[in-house]
Amino acid sequence: MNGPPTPSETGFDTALYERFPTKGRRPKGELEQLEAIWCAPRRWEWITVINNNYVGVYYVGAAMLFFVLAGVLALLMRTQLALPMQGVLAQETYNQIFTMHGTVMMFLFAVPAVEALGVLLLPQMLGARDLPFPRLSAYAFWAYLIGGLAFFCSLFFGLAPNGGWFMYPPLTSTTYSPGINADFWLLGIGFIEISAIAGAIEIIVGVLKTRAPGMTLDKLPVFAWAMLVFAGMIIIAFPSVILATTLLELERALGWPFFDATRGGDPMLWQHLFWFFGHPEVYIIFLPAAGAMSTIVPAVARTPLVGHWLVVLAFLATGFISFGVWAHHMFTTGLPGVSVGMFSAASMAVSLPAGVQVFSWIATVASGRMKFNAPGLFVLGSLLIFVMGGLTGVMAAMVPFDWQAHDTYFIVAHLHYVLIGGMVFPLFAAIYYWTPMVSAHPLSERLGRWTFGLMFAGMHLAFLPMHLTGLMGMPRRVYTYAAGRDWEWPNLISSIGAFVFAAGVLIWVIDMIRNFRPFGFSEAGNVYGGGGLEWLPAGLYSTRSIPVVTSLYPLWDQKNLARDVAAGRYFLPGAPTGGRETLVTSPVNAEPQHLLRMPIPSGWHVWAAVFTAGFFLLLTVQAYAASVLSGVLAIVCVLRWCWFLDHPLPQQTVDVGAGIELPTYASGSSSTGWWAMVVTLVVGGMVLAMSVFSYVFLWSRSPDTWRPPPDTTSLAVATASAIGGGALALLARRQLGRPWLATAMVIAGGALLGLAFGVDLSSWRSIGLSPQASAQGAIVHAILAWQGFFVAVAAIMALYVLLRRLYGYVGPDRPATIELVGLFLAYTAGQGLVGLYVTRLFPAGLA
Amino acid sequence: MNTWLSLLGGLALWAAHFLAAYAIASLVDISSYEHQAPLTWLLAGLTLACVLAAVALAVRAWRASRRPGLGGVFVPRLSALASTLAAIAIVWQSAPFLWRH
Repeated sequence: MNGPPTPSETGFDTALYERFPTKGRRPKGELEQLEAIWCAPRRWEWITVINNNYVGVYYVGAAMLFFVLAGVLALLMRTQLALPMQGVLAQETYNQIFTMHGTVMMFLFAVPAVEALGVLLLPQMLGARDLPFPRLSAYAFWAYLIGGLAFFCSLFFGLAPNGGWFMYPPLTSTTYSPGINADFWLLGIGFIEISAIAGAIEIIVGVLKTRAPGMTLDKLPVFAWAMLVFAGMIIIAFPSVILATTLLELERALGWPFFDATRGGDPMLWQHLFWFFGHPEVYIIFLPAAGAMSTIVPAVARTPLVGHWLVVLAFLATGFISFGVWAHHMFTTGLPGVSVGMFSAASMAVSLPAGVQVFSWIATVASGRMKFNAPGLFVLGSLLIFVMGGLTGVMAAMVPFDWQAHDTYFIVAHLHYVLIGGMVFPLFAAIYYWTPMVSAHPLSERLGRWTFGLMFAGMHLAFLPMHLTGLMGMPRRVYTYAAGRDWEWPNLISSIGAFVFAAGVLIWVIDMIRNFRPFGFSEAGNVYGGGGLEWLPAGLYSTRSIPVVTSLYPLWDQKNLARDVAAGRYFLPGAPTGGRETLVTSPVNAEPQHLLRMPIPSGWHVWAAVFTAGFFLLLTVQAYAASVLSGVLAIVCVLRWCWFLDHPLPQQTVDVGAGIELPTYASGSSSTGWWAMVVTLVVGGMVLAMSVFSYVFLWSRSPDTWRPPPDTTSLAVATASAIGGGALALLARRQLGRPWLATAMVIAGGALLGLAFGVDLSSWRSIGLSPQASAQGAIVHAILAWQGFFVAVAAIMALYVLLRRLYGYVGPDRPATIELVGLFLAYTAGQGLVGLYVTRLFPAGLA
Repeated sequence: MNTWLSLLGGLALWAAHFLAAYAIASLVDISSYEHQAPLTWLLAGLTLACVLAAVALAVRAWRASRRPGLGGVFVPRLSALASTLAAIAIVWQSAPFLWRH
């Protein structure tokens, strides 16, 4: 795919790359300064550390902890089901355990594990010192760990959710699930959603903006491509589950009837919202694993990936098409025949990109000289298992077959084949493959083979018979079964298989205890002969200098790269501003744009995470005052952490190597903050889009009961206020020469947005629309509540700008804060207008 | 921005068509018999328009690969194939609906 030189994206002269590698010795003390700036944590700093070398390892470790914990729950279930009519677990306990097994595996293991892999690997792989928002990564990790452990502990008090990992109402409504078990799920998932989205923002901006110079899109590592698509999918998919959990919690706590058919709601809405997230979720966790496979296979086969660009295309196609299959989980719910046909077609179509990847891996293995080491074995095992799971997936995509197999153990077998083959085995391959990058010793090959053998055999023993138990009619989620239906043998074999699988995991744990030695001063290095930048010699500062990349496999193709990088002969060999920093490059051609000053460790993100988790958990146990206090403290901590941002350095430009000068401050679309804000607003927009879908859906269920909207006067006032507020906030950027005026414009903009919101809310209240009385009332108030949340955040931002002005931090030399706040307020105005006009004009406008 | 639009344009067309097809299929479900034929024609027309647009994107991207812009030849070739794939997928996902009506 090489071709003639491409035009510049930013005006940067790429001929300057010819200056590298530089000649001569680097100044004395330069490396020592770098080491001092990126020094290892001491004492309590192990908690406040933000360097990805630490946070990434913590993150992967926590995810694997949850994998083991959820695995123990699986063993308990298999013990109960080994023989008919067992009394190991009571029915209610079993319900809690299978719900927690699925929930922990999907939300606390699978998504965080692959996100963690990204946090750990991407900076080195991209040639960055760290991802652009290391505190955000650390915050996401701590919120996830604290909240996840507290959520898991609900099991020990009999308070764990018990409605299955997809929590269908009406089973999970207060009528059939009184108590706070379901609330633990609905609110417990809250901090995981925040954590996942924070990680996704970090990954998107990191992959697009912190690549090594020269790493154009055709040279972007395949793992980074996978992570980019993965993070994009999180941004599109997770808002749906955010909305779903919020609506169900509102119904449970306040009686707003979104899913209550007696008041115009419809439980099918939950299924649509949940599966719009839930099915792409499978690909969300598969894609990074596929990216890891596509990186490991060439290394163990010792040849470049066959069809690299086709694999990239497959990632992109998966990212889109997987959103068209959500309803294939709903074939038995009485969907219209035409919809069922469409979703069935899309479900079959999504297997094609997966097939492209599988054939690429097979072709790479066939064309190279495969080494059957531990990562290689896991890669091959994954291929086999995933293909088997994929084939049963195509079977389940056929509607008549799905009607027979739905909610049976056949589906349990299918989903475990897909998830274990598509994610767990690749993750273990990744752990074996990349451990030498972060540990002084690689993991043991001998123990690795045992781990693989037991996991592979145990996996098939456990799940292959489940296809039969399902076809013989055994429904999933039953806590026991009667003898005499020929289910005994397959169940016993499945239980034995589960313990064999667990034995494999146990050997891996022993291997980790014996050999995993992270955070040392030396790593085992490139044991498996990979060709990516992550195998360059590195310290806590990542690589000594940031190379110019000219190949997809730079270590294989660029001679003396490791030596020259370690000698500081490329970009950023030292620390020209005297602090932590990395290069920011352009998103397509990776041309250097500016130097990004990175944060140093502090405790604010940890406290913010503690209070975020506290907010959700205290809300669950109905300690409302304490929850609000915790939420306020979380906001204070986040603001304190933001306070250190947007401070220009004394040096406006610095030499980043070979005499190339780059600015030390940026705003607008070249800055990382702008990209992060845009991605955040896409999340908000997706929640709004799903809210509008919910609005139309609920109307279609009971159109005759919907009442007309309020008068048009309030519509006009709210419209004018919203437009005025958004415009003022956007235009404030142009008045930075007069800081007080700019600040006043932001505050006035926020106030006008508040006015628009207040007018809209009061007009609906004035016609007596109650959120408890009908589905229309509930969904209109939900859309208003979402807008109210944004208006509240806008108000906090406006006050934050005022505070910064009082400290003299608003001015033309630092436009980023005003610019980003303006962007947020303008979005809030647009969101308010969409909500306003949808609820006023539909369905009234159709009449 | 043009690079990303070119890269993702075909697949975005697929997504837009999918959403429209889902909406039309839902409308067919709740509408009276006499309204069903026009809705079917609407989807057929939309399908044709989206397929033509995807093919046009593919041709444009393929031509662009001879005169590489940002992203070299990688992006336009990827765009061309993605748009071709999108065109096929649009036809594929409409087939059950159009066949049935």
